[in-house]
Amino acid sequence: MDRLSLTFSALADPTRRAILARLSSGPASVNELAAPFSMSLPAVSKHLKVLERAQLIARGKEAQWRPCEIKAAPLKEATDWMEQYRQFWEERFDRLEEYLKELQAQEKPAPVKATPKRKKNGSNK
Amino acid sequence: MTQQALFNFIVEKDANSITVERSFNAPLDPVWAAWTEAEVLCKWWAPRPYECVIKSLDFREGGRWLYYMQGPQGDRHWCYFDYATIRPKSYFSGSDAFCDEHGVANTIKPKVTWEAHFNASDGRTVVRVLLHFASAQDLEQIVAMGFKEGFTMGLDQLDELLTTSK
Repeated sequence: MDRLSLTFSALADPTRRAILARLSSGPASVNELAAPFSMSLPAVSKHLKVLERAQLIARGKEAQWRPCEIKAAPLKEATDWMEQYRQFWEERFDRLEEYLKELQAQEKPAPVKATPKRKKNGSNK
Repeated sequence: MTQQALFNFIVEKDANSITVERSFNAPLDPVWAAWTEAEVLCKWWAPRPYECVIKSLDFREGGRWLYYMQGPQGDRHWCYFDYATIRPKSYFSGSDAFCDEHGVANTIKPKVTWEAHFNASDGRTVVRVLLHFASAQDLEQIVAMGFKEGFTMGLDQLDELLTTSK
């Protein structure tokens, strides 16, 4: 799997996103991370492995206390392209909307009484 | 005044498809024309500050639309769109790709398959575009086109952008 796919599949889970949200305020141990969830430590560890594989988190080397910390780079990559692409479409659509508004303003003649006949291409607003 | 415009941008969790949805306070006819007629398309297709210049547009099944988007520095990005299925005033599909000025697809750049749906009610038209990418890498290359630079977002916003699978 390429890196971006790895990032997205890791993020496509509410528990893992919650773990990341927690880690965004600082490193934490597995026990600390597990506390808010009603799941076993092994289940939490499994989620951490997925996050680690996607390089979204890194774990300390100390045998006893292996704190997890968030790694921003893949996250930023993922959000960057999404945001840019989203903006691209939003700006494109804004322009279409402007055009449609202009068109309707042009088509709207000086207030004459509406005729019952419907114009094929006209605005019926 | 008018109804609040709808704008949705939903990234599917496999990361290979995106749905973009937008409502317009206009009837179906002008919206459909805006998407399918060259003289209207060129007015809005390129997001600012880009401008769209259409070389040819053959809106029929199997037809091709060839155009470029020009940036403020004069950089040109040629693209084509090959129409597959057309259901007048309701739907069209096809695929687009970056290419050269002769319409020869650039294989390094992504190819995107599209489906555009048009639904009108009460003088309002909703356009829903489903974009399907061959791979997540193709999506990355969209960014490489360099439309906008830099943007940091909190996890909350990221959460909104991603569809959750509960």
